[in-house]
Amino acid sequence: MNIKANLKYVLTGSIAFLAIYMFVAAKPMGSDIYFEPAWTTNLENTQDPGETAPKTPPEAFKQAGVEAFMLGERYGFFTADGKILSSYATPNRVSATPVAWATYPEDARDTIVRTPDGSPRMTVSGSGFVHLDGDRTFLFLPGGDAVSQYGEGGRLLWTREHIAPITAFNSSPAGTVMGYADGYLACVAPDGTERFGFYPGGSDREVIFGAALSEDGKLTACVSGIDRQRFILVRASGGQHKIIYHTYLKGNLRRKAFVDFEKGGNFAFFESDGRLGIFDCKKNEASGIPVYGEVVAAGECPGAALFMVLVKNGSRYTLSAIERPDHLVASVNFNANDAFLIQREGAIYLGTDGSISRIDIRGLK
Amino acid sequence: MKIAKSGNLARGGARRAARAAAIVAVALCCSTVSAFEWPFGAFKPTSLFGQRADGVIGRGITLEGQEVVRASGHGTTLVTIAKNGNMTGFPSTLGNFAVLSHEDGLLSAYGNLEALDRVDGRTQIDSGTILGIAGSSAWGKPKDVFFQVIDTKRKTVLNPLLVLPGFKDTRGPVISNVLAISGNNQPFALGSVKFVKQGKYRVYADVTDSIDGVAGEFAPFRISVLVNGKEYASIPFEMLQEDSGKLYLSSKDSREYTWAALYGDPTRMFLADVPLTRGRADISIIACDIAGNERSVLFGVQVE
Repeated sequence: MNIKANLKYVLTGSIAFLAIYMFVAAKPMGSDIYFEPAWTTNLENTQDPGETAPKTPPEAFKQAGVEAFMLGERYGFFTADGKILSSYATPNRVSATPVAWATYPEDARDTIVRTPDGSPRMTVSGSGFVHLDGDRTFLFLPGGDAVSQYGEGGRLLWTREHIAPITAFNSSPAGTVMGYADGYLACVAPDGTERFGFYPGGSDREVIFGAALSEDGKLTACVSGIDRQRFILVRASGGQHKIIYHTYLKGNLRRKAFVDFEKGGNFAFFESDGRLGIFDCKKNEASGIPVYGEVVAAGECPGAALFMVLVKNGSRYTLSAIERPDHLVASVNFNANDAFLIQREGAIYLGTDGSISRIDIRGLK
Repeated sequence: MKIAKSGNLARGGARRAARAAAIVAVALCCSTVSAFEWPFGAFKPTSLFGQRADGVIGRGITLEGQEVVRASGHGTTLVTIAKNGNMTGFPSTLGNFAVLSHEDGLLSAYGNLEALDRVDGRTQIDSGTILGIAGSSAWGKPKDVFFQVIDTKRKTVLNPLLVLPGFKDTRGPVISNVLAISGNNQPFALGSVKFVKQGKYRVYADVTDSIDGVAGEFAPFRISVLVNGKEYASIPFEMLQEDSGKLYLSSKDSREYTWAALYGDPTRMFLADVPLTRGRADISIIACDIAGNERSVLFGVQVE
């Protein structure tokens, strides 16, 4: 065989193969998605210390798309087009959502919850830390194992105590789920009625690391146990609850695990040792991506085809874009002391230390 | 009113002996299960187990002015929960806290740590290992640390003093402001009334303990209420159990002393419901602390 004579064919064939391989074998993005920076705004302290009423007219807070932010010792509200409506600085603790905020000291008692424009919304009577989630108001009581929910006007709706500290907590309009250090998982309706409570078990040591409740309250996701750590999905309906899926996880996470549902309830996200699991609730399938650090936020309100993940490892953050269900399409690292991520379908808001940016996701179908 | 210190009460000697034996039995039982070491260098409690603690019954002990926090026993790191960051997680009132898992299903929890870096990444923890220094991450005062013991087998929160080494204490509890409230909500200050009408009464009192060399008032270890020698309540501050999402101190008569039941009155502790029938009634309240110091008060009233 004349190798020299055939070399040109071998080379031509190899190049053709590579070209075809590059276009055929690589997993393509499902759509022509790209990211477009919309605006970046620096946070200036527009309020004087101690002020509770913003200088912005109250009407401005009523427009659609107002978001809350908390970055370091700064908190306030901004609009979708990048206007900072209020920006306060405080050494105290803060809880803020688009509809309310509260700030309180370490020995907080009778905390006042305010609307974004600074008007008093309610007083949460009692000692403890106020936690706002959407339009829901909770008070974590001293001792670490008790929580109360308050309704309009500061009316106490319910209080639950347990024998071990709370290690996981999540709420949705359909109720609240709590996990404890002894491995107990409890879910209550908005009026405090227990929907279910049980020990998932299945591991050598029982403990709940993370739990979440879907928007409609039908599904509860949970990461539990040490030595055969596992993820379980519980369906509750008609006064009954049933584990409809479980899988054992590699490694043993021994800290708070990120667990959450996207707003649509189609996917659940769960963190394990070095991995973010993604559970397709319709197909009953789990997949995942590797993560290097602690998951801060993931796909709560994603676009139709793409969700964002923010991971923290010390002062290094990684922002990743995941095409459903588990295709990593973009990733960027940055350093910050504090950061947050909000995704509202085709727009993401990324806060890093002294600034907030909006990045639009284009090409979503 | 007749006040009797330890050993001076005419009736109930046998009961006291039985009670003391019970305390010793519980302590021995727990100490054989797991003997813990003090996780703190200085014993300066601000609150003990079962105490009125800002809207809840105290789940453990809180100590002030601490620096180093150590593991109270051999175990493994079960979970560490960091103070919630901005816009993530939930605000645990224990702040940065660690929970260790020990033999026999016991857990120990350490709250208000400055940081968790001494625990994170470590699986096995030896007794006395430094877990961190006291911080200001939890609800309460800076440098106060919180210690709790949970028995996962019995599903109870244990009084940590049952599994920790004893301490010197010669001061007994103080019983004051004793009140009996009738069925129609009329209060009688026991000690200042001599005649009451027969019926059912709710007995309240301010019962606090003090400790040698430590400022402050603390919860006792057990309180009993007797009428004419018959025991109507015995409240042991030994463990908290849960029923329907409420923690309670369980009494011998299966009464559940929840926060609302025990501390619903802002100034006194609810102790017992007692029936007073025609004739003379000797109402005695006996309180003791974990060291065995006992104090009792006796009120004689004529029931009409």
